[in-house]
Amino acid sequence: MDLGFVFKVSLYGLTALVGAILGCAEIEGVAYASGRLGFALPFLSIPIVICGYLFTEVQWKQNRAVGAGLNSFSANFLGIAALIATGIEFMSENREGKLLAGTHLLVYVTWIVLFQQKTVRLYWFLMALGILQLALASVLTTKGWFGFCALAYTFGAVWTLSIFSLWRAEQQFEEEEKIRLAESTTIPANELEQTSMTKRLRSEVRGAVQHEGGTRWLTARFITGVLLTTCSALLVSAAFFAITPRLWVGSTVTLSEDREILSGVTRKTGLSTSVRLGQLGSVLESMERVFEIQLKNLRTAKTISAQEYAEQLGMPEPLFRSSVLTHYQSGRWAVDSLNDLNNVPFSRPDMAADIEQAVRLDANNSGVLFCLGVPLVVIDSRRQIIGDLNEITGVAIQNDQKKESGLMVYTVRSALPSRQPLHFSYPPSARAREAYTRNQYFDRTIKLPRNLNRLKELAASIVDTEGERRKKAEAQPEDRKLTPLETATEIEAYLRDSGEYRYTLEQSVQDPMIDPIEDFLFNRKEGHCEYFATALALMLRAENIPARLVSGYKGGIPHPEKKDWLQIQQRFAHVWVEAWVDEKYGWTTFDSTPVDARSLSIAGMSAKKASLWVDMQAAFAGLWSDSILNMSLDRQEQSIYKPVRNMAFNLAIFMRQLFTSPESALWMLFDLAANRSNWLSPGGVIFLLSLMLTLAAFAWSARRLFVWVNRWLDNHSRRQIRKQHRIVEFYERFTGMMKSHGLKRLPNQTQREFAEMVASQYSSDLEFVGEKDIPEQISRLFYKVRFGESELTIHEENEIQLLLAKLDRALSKDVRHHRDTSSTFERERSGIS
Amino acid sequence: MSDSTLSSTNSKRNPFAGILPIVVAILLTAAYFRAPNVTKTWPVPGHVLFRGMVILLGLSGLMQVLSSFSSSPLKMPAWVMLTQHRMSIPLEGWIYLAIIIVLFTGAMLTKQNTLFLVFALMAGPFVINGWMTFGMLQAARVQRSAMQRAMQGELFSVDVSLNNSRPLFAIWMMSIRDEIVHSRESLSATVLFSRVSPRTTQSGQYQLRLSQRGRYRFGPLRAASRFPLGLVERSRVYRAPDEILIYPRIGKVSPAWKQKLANATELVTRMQPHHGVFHDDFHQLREFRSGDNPRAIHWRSTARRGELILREFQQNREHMLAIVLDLFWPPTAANSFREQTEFALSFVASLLAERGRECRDGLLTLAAAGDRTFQWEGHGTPTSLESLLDGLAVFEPGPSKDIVELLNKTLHHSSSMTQVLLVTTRTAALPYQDLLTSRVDVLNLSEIAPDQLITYDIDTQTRRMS
Repeated sequence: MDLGFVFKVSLYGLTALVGAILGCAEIEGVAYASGRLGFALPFLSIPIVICGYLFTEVQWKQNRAVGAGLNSFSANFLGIAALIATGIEFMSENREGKLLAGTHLLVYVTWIVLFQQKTVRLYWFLMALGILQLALASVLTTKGWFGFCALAYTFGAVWTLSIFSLWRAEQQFEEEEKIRLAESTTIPANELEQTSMTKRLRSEVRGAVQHEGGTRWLTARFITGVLLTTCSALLVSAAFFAITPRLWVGSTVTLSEDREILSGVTRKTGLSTSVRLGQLGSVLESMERVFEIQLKNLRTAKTISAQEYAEQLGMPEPLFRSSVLTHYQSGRWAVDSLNDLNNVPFSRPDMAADIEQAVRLDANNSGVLFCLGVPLVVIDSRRQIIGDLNEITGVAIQNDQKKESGLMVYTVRSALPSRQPLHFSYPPSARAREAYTRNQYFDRTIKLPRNLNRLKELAASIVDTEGERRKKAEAQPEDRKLTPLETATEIEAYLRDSGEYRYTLEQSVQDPMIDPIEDFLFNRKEGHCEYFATALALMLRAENIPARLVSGYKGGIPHPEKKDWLQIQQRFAHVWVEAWVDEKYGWTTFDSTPVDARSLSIAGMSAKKASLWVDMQAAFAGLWSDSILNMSLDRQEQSIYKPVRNMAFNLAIFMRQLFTSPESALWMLFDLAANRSNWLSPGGVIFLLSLMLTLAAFAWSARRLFVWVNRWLDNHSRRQIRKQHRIVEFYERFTGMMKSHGLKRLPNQTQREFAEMVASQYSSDLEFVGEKDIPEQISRLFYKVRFGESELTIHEENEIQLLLAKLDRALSKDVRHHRDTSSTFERERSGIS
Repeated sequence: MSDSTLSSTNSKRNPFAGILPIVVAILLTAAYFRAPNVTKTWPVPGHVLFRGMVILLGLSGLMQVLSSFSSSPLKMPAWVMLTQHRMSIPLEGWIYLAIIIVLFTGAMLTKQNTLFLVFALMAGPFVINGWMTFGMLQAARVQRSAMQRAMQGELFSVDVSLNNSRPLFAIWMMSIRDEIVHSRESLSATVLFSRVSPRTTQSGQYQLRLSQRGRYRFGPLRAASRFPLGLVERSRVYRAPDEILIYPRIGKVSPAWKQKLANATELVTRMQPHHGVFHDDFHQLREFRSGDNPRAIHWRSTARRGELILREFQQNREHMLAIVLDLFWPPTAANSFREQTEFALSFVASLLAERGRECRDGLLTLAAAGDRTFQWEGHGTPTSLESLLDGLAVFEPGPSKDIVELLNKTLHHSSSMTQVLLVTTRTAALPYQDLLTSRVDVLNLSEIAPDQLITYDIDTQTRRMS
């Protein structure tokens, strides 16, 4: 298969993939921000990639060159247009538009590059743009699918780059060949005719590609190799991710409100500072963990269940409060600005505390410290106070002393009520009440949008009907006016128990022209907790009862591994209402969501998902949440650094013992090996790895030493041989010449003795050429070089050449033949010397 | 990273590639001195290590910048090189590294683990790229096998073998670059091994056609690989010194000039041991060609066949020839003059080789003067000719101071039967004019066109590799 084709298809496919990833991430981000499910621009990358490939990489006609595309002028023009479009998008009032403008600019640039005539640089540029798009997608989403996509992209990227390497190598040799051919064809004909050799001669070099078996680049071995390389790279990536300490720099860089919208960790419902009707539906299907809690009664020193404590507080199920929302407008709730101004530090651990709540909270940026009931103090493992109490809402907030963004482990202390109330209520302090009055907080908590007349009528109708009923029941002559508590209870009961409204997670809008809550109350008559709670809060406000919406979690499941721990997942997210029905009790909790229907829905969700696939999903979700999203310095300390430190410490002890007391060291090793539970413990694994590494290092060092010694010995002997070879070079020629004439130097004969033997043997021949002492001269030069350690001069080299030539001639038969016929020859032989 | 072309043997060095390390080094230095509260807690080795790293980073950037402005890459002195391994990051690698740094910084600032995940996923392949190339080079053993002698313009192959000593992992996409250096030119050849299995040796060949006479030195061999991602290049240098001697080009002496030389030979006093028009042995009859001596026409055969038939005689095997080569290089000569001196050497080598072939037993002598003197005496045997060509291969033109003495000696020692030919490249008056008797044929190469003397086999020697 053509390498260029494979590379281009890989690169364009990778660009399409990253476009799809960015598109999905954008949809998720925008959907969360604005609630609308729109079409994301990056999805257009897929058809554009196909068009770009067909336009720039495919040769449609014979006369059209491959690689046609936008020229630089057109590309620059389109780039400016993209910049203007991005500017317009950024300047719009639409908040999401501003946020996504940068993303779209990247996408526009990718499109332009796709249609440009490609060079190596542009191929690389396309690759870099892909990586940047992936990075942007990682900011826009925090879902588990992104992890899979990122893995897929990494596989694709390594594959593409590997193919790119091959292709460039192939191109390099092909191009060299083309240049060579071009040069040879451009040589003028008359130059070829010239005999001047330096004009015709030109040094040429031709490289080559050496394949292993055949001439194919793409082989099964190559593909396997790339896969293994990618797996190795992923292992290194995992190590990078796990080991690099999460020493986050500075304060959190936020994008104002957009941070809340686009940040993954704050997107957990129950933590957000705004709620939009219908938003919760998809979240209620998620089994992602949010936090875990265990309660202990300090009086009895025994654990108690969250349910038990909740019932003592007046809650039918455990309610974990988070955001308190006051402002309602067109289906959207938001927090009150007063919330931020009334955080009060907790006092030192209160002796009045009865309950200790141990909480393990996954990463979030809201700063809310979840607990059951009203917290008295929040401390960490070092018994330092880590939270403040927001007196307006009664929610514990992380203080500035310890801003953790990873997993948080803390303890909340709270009190047991003296008697079990009917409803849980949060009694604000005197200071908070003063703040309510001073800041007209109650005015805002009874504020109702103007267009909710039908809601007002319904509320009035419920109250009137109940009033009439009670009047009759109590047989009172006067109109019976319901108290705020009775009013709240009645409206709560109407919404929850009348059977008029049904609980569902499905979303639908029947009349988009009216307020979503009236659409719920009068048209759809079905929805989830957000609709029920909103309806209750607004109907209470319609009856002049201050009411506010509280988001958080309701209920949980027993922890699958830890006894007495309750695990709270996303699907337990809930919204309820707090109303100011009595000065004494403060904010009383009302929950108008049908309890049974909600429980059935949650249980049904669990039952529906009880399968291998769902288990796998849950396992991956846990892994994603624990090891990716919520990775923090604390978690690294607990899972990686501490075990490694301990192991290093143990290893050091072991090594010391090995030298001081080898027996105990071996016993220690034996204990480790004998105890099966140690094998799979982190310590055991690390110990085994360390041992293997030590052994490998030892083996490697020994091998290197062996190779080094061998090489040294080899080089030494080679040097010796070379030294000998240097001196023998001309002498060997001499001995070779003699050998061809039947004379061989004996092992016990010195070079001088051999020379004398040659001289005596061929005395007549040597006399004929007038050089009787040729053998002696050769042996003299031999001794000079061999034992005198001196180099031959050029003159001496020439002399040797001459001597050997003369000797050769003297020994040849023909010369001997002419010895008789040419008397003058002798004189000639002694000519040039 | 080349832009217009997809490949280049010598990749174009980008000056900006070196600026990034310099900027980073400056920033680190500034941060080091401007934030003492951060660095004061470091132990002394930490300070030393940090400063060392910054200095190395800055120097590496500086080297890259300087290399980009230099025509040849800067080479570190041998004593500085602690190891034969070299690592370089091409421009695409620097861009990749910059993206990784941006991702890391972004993740650290925004506290986003997902962004950190992308950073880690990008950093892993980068590290693996460097590690793989290092591992491959550790296991690579490279050797070269080249012939010791070749003719100018002759096409020959050089074997390069690559051994993979690793037991498990293969070597991928490793290029072996060899340097071939002459005093007047420098060449490089590359052999790319696409894969070498564990514990095996692969051999590849590159082809060479060398145009300069003399000694070419091979080496060092540089094994390099960027596989698989092309982001990090590591190389290892194997010294592997070797050399090849390039002989002067051997051509065919033109028949006309040979004839002229033969005529001149007649003037030489010599014995008459054999019959023949020119005291040569009869060889064969052949048809008459333009330029042949009419005296050699065999009239009887001509009459019988109806066309001119010529008697061809083989050169007498007893011819003795003494050549005195005056390879004079004028002090003010331009480089183009070298062509003439090269031609002189080529001509002398061709003449002696041809005469050696034809008169295997005739004595041939050469006395040459240039930058030094060179004397040779021998026959047409291969061993003898090899020593002649060895000498001519490294003979260089020069002031030719001893030419008069050499000519004098040659005339004095050679008999009247020896034909003496003086070949010179002088354009001015000859300093040995007095010695030029009728025995000496003078061939002044500045006065005669080369193609009148010698022709080269165009088919074999000027054929381009294709």
